[in-house]
Amino acid sequence: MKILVADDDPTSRLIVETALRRLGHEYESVADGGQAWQAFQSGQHDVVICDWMMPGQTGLELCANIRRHSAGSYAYLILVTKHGDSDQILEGMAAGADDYLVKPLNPKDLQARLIAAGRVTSLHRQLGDRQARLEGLNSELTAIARRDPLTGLSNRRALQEDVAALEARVTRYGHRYCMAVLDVDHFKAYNDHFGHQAGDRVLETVATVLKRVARTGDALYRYGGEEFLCIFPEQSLASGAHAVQRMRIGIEELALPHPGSSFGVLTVSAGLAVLDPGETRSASDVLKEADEALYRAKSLGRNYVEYGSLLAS
Amino acid sequence: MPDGDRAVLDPEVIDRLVRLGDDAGEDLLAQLASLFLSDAGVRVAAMQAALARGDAAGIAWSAHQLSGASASVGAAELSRLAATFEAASVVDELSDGQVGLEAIEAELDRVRVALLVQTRPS
Repeated sequence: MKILVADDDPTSRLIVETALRRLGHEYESVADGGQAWQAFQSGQHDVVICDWMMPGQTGLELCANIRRHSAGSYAYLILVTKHGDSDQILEGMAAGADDYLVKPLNPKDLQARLIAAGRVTSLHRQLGDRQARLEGLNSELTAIARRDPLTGLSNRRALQEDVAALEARVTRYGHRYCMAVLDVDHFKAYNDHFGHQAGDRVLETVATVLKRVARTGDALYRYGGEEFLCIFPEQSLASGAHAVQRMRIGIEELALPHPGSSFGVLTVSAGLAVLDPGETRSASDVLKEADEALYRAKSLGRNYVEYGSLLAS
Repeated sequence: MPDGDRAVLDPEVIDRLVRLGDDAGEDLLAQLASLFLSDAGVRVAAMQAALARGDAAGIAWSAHQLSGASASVGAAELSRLAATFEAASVVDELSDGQVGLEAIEAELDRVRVALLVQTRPS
């Protein structure tokens, strides 16, 4: 335990110091309340033994300051009063002291207080550790809950949360964004021919290509079984389309054999839509438009990117 | 109460300090005596100066310090006198200030002698 002794009376300080040495404790010792507060801020002591009345900062103020400003660890505060004045003791405990000692100091009383201090501070340390572990687990769980385990992309739950944030930004700052829905062509036929495990590998591969093409700030989601969704913040339809075309070409160029496709290789189709600044449509309107564009891309022969707003305009 | 009826130094406190010193392997009482006596001298001088200029807060502060320090070395009567003086100065009843201070000085003399006796090498 790191102990801080604060007392302006050298006599009383010497007695406390001697008793602490005798008990084998390490301590730092200061002669007024101001020094005590400084020492505590840099040392974060486990136990503070402070005199009730000191220049600079009284023991009462010191206790209140320590309680107000130390967030993580817990310091056990022992106030030292001259003659067990009950009102002083109550006031001190209310201000944050855990215990008190009376002058003339009985070293055995000090020893008893330090036993309690050791127990309480170690309990607080355990609680703090447990809290930190829980917080770590919590953020890990949050991350897991937002991630598609197969592809490592964000999942639908993440999409819901992100879209709410995106809409708030768009409403407040008048930002624009592009949204694209990509779908693996004839995925069911691929699964039927090669089996579900091979189908899973294909989804992983498609995700890898999407990640390679996407830029920092773009968001990628596994939207459904073989459907992917990309959000390109701040991008026009033209630059969004450029990215999606690169994704489509990137997958076609992998030349993964697909006997069920007229292209002979695995391909994707995509529908793209944009929300320009000042528009009042919701994200689900934009998504619906991208979805309809995807549907047209499929009916236009697949391995194709179709644009929503072009048709609208 | 007449002087002869009470110990200037509380034997229980002195005994505790001697034992603590023995346990720690230090001559604690001698160190304390010298610290206390030099400190108490400074406090009394400060009280005299404060009394001369009518500084009640200054008296209260020094009296409080002296009261705490004397309690620590077991000088219970001196501690009590200083505390009474402190209380009087807080409520600004220092008409008898000189008398109170003289009583403190007289008791401090007794404590000085008693401490010297206690710490005299045997």
